[in-house]
Amino acid sequence: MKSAFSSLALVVGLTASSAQAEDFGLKVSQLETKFSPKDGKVEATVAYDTDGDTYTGYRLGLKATIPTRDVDGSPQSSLGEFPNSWALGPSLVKEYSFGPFDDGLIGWLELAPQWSAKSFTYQPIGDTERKTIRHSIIGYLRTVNFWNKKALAFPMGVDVTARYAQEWSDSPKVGLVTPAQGTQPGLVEKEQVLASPTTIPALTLRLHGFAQLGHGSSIALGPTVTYMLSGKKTSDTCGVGCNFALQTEIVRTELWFYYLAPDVKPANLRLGLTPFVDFYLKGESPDKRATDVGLMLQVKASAPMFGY
Amino acid sequence: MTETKLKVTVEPISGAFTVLGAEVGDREWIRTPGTKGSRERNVSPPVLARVGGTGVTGATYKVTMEYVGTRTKFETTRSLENGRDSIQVDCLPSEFKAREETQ
Repeated sequence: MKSAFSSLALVVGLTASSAQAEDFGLKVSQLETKFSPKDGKVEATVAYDTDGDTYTGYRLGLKATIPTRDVDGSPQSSLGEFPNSWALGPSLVKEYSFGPFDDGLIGWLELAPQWSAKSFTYQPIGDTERKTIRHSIIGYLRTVNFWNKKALAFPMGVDVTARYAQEWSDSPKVGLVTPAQGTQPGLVEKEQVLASPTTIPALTLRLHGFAQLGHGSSIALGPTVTYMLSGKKTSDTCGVGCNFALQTEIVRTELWFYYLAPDVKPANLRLGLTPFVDFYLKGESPDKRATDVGLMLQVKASAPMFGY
Repeated sequence: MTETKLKVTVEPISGAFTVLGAEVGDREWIRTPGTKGSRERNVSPPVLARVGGTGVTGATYKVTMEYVGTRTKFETTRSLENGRDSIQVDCLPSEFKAREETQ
């Protein structure tokens, strides 16, 4: 019997910094890994902060993303979060804050375009093996805001992320069948990629809330809605967005339950658990269903409590 | 008035924080999303500093203040009550004097 939860993902985050690097204004501002049953990634950002720790300046950095396994580029299971190959690019952050530090707002806006290149091998029937290199582009625009005003019953935050990816992946493998002989049916001899790589452009919009259940509470909730469109190009001869055909349209809902450990060292350990439901408005899940459910677990250490 | 370089550091020890910060005089020096923050600047003592944070009740943090290059230092460990805490410190020319104030 198939499990009610077809997906289980673990999200692990860690923010680290070295004292020596801090002397030069450099920070490993985020080192984060994410895993799901099919995909995974490690993401690291090293940034230079132009204005120390006041949240009024800019952070100029470099963001690297590395998949933890060779994925097939399917966006269905991961809502476009996981890259097909390593990706590298600048991270530009504008920090802003208003009011006193303990009765105001803290937030930032991040723009992070990334580039990657990957080599693909395929072999059309009756032809020699061919190799080709394809270049992918990924772009993030993210804003994170948190209000800890005394007048609010619930200290709360919201972050909004838009991600566009134009990534290349292998064409599906095709089973090569030996000819049937007499009463013996044909058998699949091997699976082979016959066609050149394909691209799956994907747009993901994510709205994530965060509300601490009262000042000082160690419990917080994080309602989240994610909307993803993915498609395919119907021609390789034209540019981004050209001959685009919608392939998948998904709305994912999550309700995170966070436990903010009150007396754990090192500080800022956050445990999260959420069920999620994927509604396929177009296309279907890998299990051929219109809705898909799953669980995600999150462990974040030394990271901002309300950070994405 | 003699200018002296003042260094203020706010560092989480245990528990979860939303914000840690420090204000010296009328100026904000530090505001971090619960991570360690440190900054030094020239001041003309006496000045008043306010350091603190918000987060989960019971979370502890360490405040360090010093006039750089001197032996004049101040260090205290604080914890959040009802999710917030702050301390005011008079930064006098030759000493730091805490005004006990818990919010």
